[in-house]
Amino acid sequence: MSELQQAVISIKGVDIYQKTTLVLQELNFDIRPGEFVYLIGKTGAGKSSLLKTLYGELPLMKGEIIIAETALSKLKRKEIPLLRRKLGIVFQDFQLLTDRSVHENLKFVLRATGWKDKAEMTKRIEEVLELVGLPTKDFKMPHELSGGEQQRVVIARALLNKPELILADEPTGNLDPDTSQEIMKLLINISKVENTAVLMATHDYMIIERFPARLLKCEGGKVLDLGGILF
Amino acid sequence: MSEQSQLKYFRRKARRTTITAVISISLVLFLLGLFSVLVMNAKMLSDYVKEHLEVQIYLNEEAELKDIKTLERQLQAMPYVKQLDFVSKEAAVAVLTEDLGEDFVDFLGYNPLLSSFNMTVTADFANTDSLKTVKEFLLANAIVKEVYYQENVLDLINKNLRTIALVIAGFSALLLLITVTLINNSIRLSLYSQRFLIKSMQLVGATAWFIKKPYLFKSFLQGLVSVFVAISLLYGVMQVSDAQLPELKELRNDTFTLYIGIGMLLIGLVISLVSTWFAISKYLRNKIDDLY
Repeated sequence: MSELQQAVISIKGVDIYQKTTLVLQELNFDIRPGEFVYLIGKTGAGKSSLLKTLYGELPLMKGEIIIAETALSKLKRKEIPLLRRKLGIVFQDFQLLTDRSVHENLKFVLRATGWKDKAEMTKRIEEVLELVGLPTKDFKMPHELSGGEQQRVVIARALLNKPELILADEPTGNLDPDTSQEIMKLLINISKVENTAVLMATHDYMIIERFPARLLKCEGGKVLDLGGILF
Repeated sequence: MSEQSQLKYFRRKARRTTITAVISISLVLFLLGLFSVLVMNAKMLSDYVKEHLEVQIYLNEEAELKDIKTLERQLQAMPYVKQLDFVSKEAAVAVLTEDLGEDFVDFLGYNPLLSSFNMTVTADFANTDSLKTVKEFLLANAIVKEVYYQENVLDLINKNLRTIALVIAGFSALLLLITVTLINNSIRLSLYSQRFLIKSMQLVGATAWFIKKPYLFKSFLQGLVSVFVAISLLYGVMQVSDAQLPELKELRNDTFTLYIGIGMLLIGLVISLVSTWFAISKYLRNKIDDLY
């Protein structure tokens, strides 16, 4: 197997645009299965735009990205849902469906991604809730949960279809330091246990110091691969 | 707010948006229906007037019964003839005598009146051009002496009706436009609050159709309820008008009324579904940043 096929994300000669503005230029990096990677940089440096391009919310204008065996340069609008089923997305903007319970939230994702068997769905929902440590909260409504609990459910949702990669944009952004650490432990644990790669955008340096991992830094329109070294 | 009451609050809010949409849709549909009923009444009234316009066909003194019978059969076979009555000389005398209040045959010593047919034609045939050809056709017959109808009255009716029809057509188009816009707006408004939900569904990998399905189903039900409310209102109004203005009942046509009902149903459902479809498509196409 070549190195290119092995990588969960392979980025070659990519420019990232936010609308018509070029925000990041000439990106080249790979992320391997099970790898935990931080994406850091100032607000507006292009972290979110890069992530949005990765899950098909923004179009790829130049270069090639291969993510979960999907070539984004050839991606059609209709194929975007299929790509997203292979990814787990954990976003600040990306809330739970406020009009239904935790169980129904997760069931919606399963039904939307082609699951039919009721017993299997219930089993998978129990599995992921167990994995994120919320085995008894399945019939709560989202607003009845604390911020940390909601974020756990979002992570559980991201795990439903056993993704090869989790994309996380500021997953600890709205949480207090203790809860943030809990969530980080959870993400790192999942990455190890399930061999899921995680690409996480953050500017919480406390977190990075506490849980060191490979760093990609957006700066001056470039992405610098800092490896495991901080600063 | 306790958790329980908060949940109730969310549910109440969702129900309120639905109810608001149903009320707006019902009211515009009711207005459209009411206007259609008025148009029906106007049409029936004009038909009534036109179909009571008499064409008198006077026959020659020497006309033989056999020829009269032939003409009668000929006329009755014509699709445009609504009603045909033969008035003999004697019957004409009886009518005129009663009108004048004096026996003029006695006075004159002979009966100066002619036998005639009183004919009424169907509404779509009651216009100057059509009647002119009928007149020519009748005058070609040797036993017909004269054909008479109130040409200027007919002209006046038709001219006025054309103006009224034009005004009604313009008003209908306007009302339909208002209906479509209002229903579209109520639906877009009720879906606006769902835009982040829709975006979230999209981000977990749901296809556009999977997301749209439940919304389309809901809007179908919503449309159905609105149509039901609108038709009930209209039915109520018609009941009241029947009680207060029984003459109006004469100006009703059951087939036409049924068409109005079907029209309201179709417009209510189609606009609801199409508006929902486009509103959701718009939110699906939008980027997250455009939703705020």
